[in-house]
Amino acid sequence: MESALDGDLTSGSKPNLKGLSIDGTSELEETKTQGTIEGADVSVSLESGELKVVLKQKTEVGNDITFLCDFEDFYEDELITLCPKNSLKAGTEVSAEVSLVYNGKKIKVECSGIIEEVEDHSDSQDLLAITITEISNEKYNTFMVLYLERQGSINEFMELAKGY
Amino acid sequence: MKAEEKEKLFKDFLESNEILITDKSSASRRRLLKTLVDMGAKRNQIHSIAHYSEALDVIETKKPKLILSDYALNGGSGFDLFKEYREKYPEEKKSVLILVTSNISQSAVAKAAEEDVDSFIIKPYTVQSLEKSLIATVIAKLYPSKYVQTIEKGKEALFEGKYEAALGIFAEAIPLNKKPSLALFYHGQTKYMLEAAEEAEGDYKEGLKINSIHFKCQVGLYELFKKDEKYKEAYDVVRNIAKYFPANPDRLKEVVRLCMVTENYSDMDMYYELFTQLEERPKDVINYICSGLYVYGKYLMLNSEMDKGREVFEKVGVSCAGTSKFLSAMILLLVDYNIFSDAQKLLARFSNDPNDKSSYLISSYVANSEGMDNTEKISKGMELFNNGHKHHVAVSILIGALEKDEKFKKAAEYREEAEHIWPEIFKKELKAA
Repeated sequence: MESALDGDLTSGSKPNLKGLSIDGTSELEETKTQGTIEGADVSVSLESGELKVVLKQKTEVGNDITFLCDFEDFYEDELITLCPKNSLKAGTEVSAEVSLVYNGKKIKVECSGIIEEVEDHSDSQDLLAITITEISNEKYNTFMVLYLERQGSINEFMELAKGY
Repeated sequence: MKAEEKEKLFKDFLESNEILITDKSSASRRRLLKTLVDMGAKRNQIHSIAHYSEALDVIETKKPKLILSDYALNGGSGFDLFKEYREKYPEEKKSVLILVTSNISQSAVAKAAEEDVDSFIIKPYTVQSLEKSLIATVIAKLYPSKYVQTIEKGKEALFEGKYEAALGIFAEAIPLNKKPSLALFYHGQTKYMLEAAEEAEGDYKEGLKINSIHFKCQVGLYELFKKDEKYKEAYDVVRNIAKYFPANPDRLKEVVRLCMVTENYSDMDMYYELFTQLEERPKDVINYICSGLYVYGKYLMLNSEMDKGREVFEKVGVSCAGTSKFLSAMILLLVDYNIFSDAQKLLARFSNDPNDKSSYLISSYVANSEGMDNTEKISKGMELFNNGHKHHVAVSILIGALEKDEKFKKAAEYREEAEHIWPEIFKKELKAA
């Protein structure tokens, strides 16, 4: 391995693993007991969760164009998202689906609104601020309840990791 | 302290200090700014900034006491900003540095804990949840608990080299908290400074018994084992650290190295997963991961787990960014096991780098040799060799083809040269024959 890390991987085509343990798996089990952290079970969730934003816009002929975007911020009156460069214009109407998967639950909030602001973000993305005109408050609240569960896990992890 | 009192102290803090908000989205900044003003902050004391470099200017000129920063900024990150702040004002213990971000990944959270960020608030927030988090964080920083105060006092003694005094202070701190892992860590650190490594180990382990995630205790124990060259023990600890704190590329390198040293090859699956989750993948980390995976794949093939080995090699192919040393090593090994189809697929992953030309030509000859007739094997093999693209596997194929065509004299000439260049390989082959 040392030679592999140093870039000397091509020194031979025959398998050459000096000291390679054939019974590697049983050894792994064994090593787990050595230097093991004998701690209380950690119950804090390490799940990241998944956030997705899909924007849809109608073309002049009535077709839907769909854009997969990156989540940035979301309130009952505003959605902020990163979208493919030059794909959407300020002042136009869009509909959006924001979905969150966390802790075995999934919630999808549908809303619609007008693109209020388009900011230059990078070579490939624009930052859009959409003023929401239509949304199900009930679904938004359910979204926030689940989202704040993630915040709770983050707080718990931070406290445990730092120890105060 | 009562809730009303905390709220008042928090309001006073907001009113009397400069505040920096950094976020790439102006809409997000506006919302946060309004919320802070509603909570009592003065509008003219809040600096709302999109760009990293401008945020640095505000830190330099205004010395804000509260910074609320997004994870990724235009031109840098919230972590970079906090690091700059701490370097600029090392004496500043009462400033509050908070990430406000939509990055909810666990690796981002773990990095924040590792970097000692005061709080990690996710966007979107409710006004109530934001206020609750801010009050808790600010009050904890301005008015630390007796436990934290005692540890700080102990740290001062420790840094001044007053080890016996420090030990006493940390011992005082231990009963002040239900989970005193941090106090135990510093107690252990002090023991370590006093060259009582075994006692230090005991303290770190005790800290982890109480709280197995505690970052500092894990790092302390790992450093101790590493120094004593107890690699198996060090590996167990760093494996746990990598699991809970996956965002540190340097640590990933270290854990891969120890994974190999301790021959826990199958753990490479886990480290590859962690690697794919890294926000940034420096070249040296790619090198370590690919090296580890290569050895793991080789180990699997040696143990006749061909399908899994091929799967691992595919991962190396995807991750190695066209690095020829990995590609050619895998191709030669695959050919050795007669898996020509995979070897040929890997050829497409070579970069156009002129330095890789020789390696590509040799790999291509070896990988495609299966489909060549004997005449082609000889002509291409000789062309390669005579143009200086020499590799023992390619020459073996050439010699075999010459012998098959009964061109024994020519074959002997190449064999003689091969024995001269690779005496270990060719003389061994001769002996075996």
